[in-house]
Amino acid sequence: MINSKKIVLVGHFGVGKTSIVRRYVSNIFTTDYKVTIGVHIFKKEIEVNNNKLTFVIWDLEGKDDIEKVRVSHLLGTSGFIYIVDPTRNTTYVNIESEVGYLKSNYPKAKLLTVANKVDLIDKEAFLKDVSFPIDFFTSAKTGDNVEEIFNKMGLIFLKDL
Amino acid sequence: MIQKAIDRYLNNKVQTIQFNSDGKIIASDDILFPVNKEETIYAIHPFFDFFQEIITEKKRREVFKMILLEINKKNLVVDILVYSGSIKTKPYMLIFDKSSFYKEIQQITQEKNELFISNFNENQKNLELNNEKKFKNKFLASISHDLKTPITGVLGLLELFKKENLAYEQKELLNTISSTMVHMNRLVSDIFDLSKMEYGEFTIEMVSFDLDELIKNIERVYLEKFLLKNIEFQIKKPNNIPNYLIGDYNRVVQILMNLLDNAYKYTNQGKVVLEMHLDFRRAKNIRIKFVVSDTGIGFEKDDNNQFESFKKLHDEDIEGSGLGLSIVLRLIELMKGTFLFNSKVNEGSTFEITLPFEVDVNSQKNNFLKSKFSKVNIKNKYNILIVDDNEINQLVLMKLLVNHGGFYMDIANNGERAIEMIEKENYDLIFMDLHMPKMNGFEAIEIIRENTENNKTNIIALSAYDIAKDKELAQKLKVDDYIVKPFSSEELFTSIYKVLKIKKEAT
Repeated sequence: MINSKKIVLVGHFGVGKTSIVRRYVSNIFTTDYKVTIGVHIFKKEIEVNNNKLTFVIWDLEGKDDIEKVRVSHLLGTSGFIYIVDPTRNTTYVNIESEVGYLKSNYPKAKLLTVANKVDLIDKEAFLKDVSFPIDFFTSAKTGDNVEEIFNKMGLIFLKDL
Repeated sequence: MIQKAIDRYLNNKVQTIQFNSDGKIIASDDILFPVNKEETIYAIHPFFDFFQEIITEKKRREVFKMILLEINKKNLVVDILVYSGSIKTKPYMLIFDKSSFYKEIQQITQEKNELFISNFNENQKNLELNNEKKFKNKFLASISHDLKTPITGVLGLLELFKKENLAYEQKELLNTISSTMVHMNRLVSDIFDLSKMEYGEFTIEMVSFDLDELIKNIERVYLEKFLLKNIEFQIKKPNNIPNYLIGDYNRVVQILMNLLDNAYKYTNQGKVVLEMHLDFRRAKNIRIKFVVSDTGIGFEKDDNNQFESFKKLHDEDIEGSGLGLSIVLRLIELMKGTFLFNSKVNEGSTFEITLPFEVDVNSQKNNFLKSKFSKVNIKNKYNILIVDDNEINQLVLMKLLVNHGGFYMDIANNGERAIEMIEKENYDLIFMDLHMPKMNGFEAIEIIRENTENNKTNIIALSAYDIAKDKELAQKLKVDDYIVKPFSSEELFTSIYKVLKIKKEAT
């Protein structure tokens, strides 16, 4: 249990948090949108550089303001994955302040930013529009880069071990 | 008994699990799901993993709401209260089944979020469409403006050419080229007007004009045209309509010419009549009904919506008429007029337009519109500076001035050069193109008016942009007159005579 890490997926509703976690844990994708109520929790064991890690992934209900997320859900978080939908600018206009809120309230937690649904956008135009660095461009639909987010998170955790 | 009824109503099933500081299960009432008493709480569900952290601290109490637990292939949405224990009490947790309550919330939230996303997508689509439309209109306005410059040049050169001694056949050819260019100019102007209307930069002017003069101008164009097609053309204006009105002269002409062109196109025999009626008058406000009727081929009306029906008629007939009829409809809308039409196949069509005006009670006759242009012989020569980046425009202006006589000329290719020249030389008049590279006409005029010794020099602004904004800006900079390209020699010299106060008595 030593290497069990709580990873929390945050972001507005409909950005694809559940799709990313389902693609990662079960390699499944469906186009229908089913709203997440509360929190769904998944577990996945991975191996990074010959080290075994257990990820307990918390898929939170989407909120348009990070401060509306229940504080109890964020207790003991080791890593945040902040996900935006590049097809809806309302999901990333406040990314800087949302990420800032997480960093100042959970200073020990690691954080990666993800733009999902890249199969639907003009990446160059999005990059001009978004004011904050994005670590990963993913598509839960095609599976592009999804595993890479968690591998990267694993590498970051290992550095601290 | 009462508690049971309350519990049933609240549907509050609660499971209690007690465990030790290692997480090993001590007891469970298994109300919601069975647990293996030999296991730890961490084996129940990954959610409980981080309880390790909570139970290291004594007397800690945490509540977790809306947790989805999938246990034994059964989904439960629960609230969980965990207590980390004290010296007297072992750690425990209470699991409250809220599945039915959260199911309702789920449905409501699902609908709300879906609606939000679909509204967003709809707005986004509209935004993109508007941006595309805006881009298209700006592109059209810009390209039509660029086309106007060479057309102006060619029309100017043709006008000069007509004054040469030419053989009959050459004159005929020149007339054909000339009328083709005039037609092209009208098409380009139509595109320009429509694109301006689309992005809201089109304004209706309110200037004084003489209705009799307007009718004479129309008669001059169409009488011969209809005569050549063997069609009778009549204009009827009753005496109760005042002559001096305030309104948009050019746009009224544009509407009437478009309707007469339409009548010309679809009438092969009989007659075309332009009639005017006084529709309404109260104090200064007046409404005039213009009726254009023909004995042409007519068409079938397929619905009651006049505007839509007329637009459809126009859409079906792409050939020839350009964008004129679409513009007519937009102009009538912008002028707050009304439009009606009637038509019968093989009998003809009638178009009725009602436009509001103001009666210009104080007006004297408008010299520009009323008086016929006549050349004035100039005794003392005037010193003129032409500022234009386009060589054809320079040539046309120069040739017109040379042919007229009475002017010395200098040329500057841009505003910067013009200012240098003005500082060295005194000019009676500057022709200033407003759109030039390096330094445009607006900047140059501003510098001339504010900084040079010759700040009172007469300036006539020239522009192929006849946007009201251009004109307004030029007037703010106190130009003495404003001419829209392409211009006729009559327009040019009327402006020169006005600005330089050259009087006809001098002839």
